[in-house]
Amino acid sequence: MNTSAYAIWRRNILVWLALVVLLLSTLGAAYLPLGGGNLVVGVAIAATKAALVVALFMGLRQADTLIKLAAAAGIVWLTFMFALTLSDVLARLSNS
Amino acid sequence: MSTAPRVLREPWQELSRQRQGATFGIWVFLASEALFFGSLLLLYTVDRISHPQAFIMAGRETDIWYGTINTAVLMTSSLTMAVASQAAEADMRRLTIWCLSATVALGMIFLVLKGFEYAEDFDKHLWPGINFALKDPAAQLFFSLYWTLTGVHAIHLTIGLGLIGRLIIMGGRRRIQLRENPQVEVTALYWHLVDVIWIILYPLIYLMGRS
Repeated sequence: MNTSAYAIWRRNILVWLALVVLLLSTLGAAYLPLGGGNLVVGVAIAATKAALVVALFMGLRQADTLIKLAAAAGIVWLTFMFALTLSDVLARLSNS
Repeated sequence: MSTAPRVLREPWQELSRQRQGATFGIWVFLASEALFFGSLLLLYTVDRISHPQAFIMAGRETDIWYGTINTAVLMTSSLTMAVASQAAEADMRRLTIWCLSATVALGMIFLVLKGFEYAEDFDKHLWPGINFALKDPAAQLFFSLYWTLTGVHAIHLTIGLGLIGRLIIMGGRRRIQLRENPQVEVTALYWHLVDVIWIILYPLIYLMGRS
């Protein structure tokens, strides 16, 4: 029983450590003069952290195909919403 | 053996099917939550594209330390929640309840820190309106999104605290069995989503205009 409690802690603390390292690197990177790159780095690191939580803490990596489809549906519709709206917004901006 | 009532509910005939149904249901709900927060983030994106300088100036006014510490607090609460959920599967009742309690404590720390941060924001006149601190009117767009996003997130987190608190009380008094109970997994998944949303908000709110 103790060994498996140890295994549970060990497995999850590794994920947590990765999240902490990513948090510190995104905090540090925010102070670097990267111009527009600051936003790209910030969002990319946030996406990596979110992916770690979803895949490992939420167990999507080992989940059934049906569950993966449900999660993917959220991302797919989100992508459509952003793509269609931004195609309009960005086109107006470049014409103005 | 536990004296708690069995986990299996109508209309399910097998626990495995019930668990699949519950997990599928919460993921569909979480996908809809992603769209809910996504629509606010889309508004943020469009406003930011239209007023890039105002957003950077306004973002600089947020308190990066409250934001960063709260991100760490919430990530740690996700760790204890993940351990609680996996311990429940492995029938480690005490570890489950201990970790659920730690998750609630961390969630409350988050809310207290957020409260102090809000008080500071009010002192700095960062509430959009007549006495708003910044000259550029577009900076108010950033701060109306700031209050909306963090406020809606805090409401989600508070609901999560209620759901976990319920598991602690019911599980602690053996009114429900925690082992293999889909309610534990569903609550854990909801909590993790609240964490994921904060992780996404963090660079968009706190990390701008620092360089």
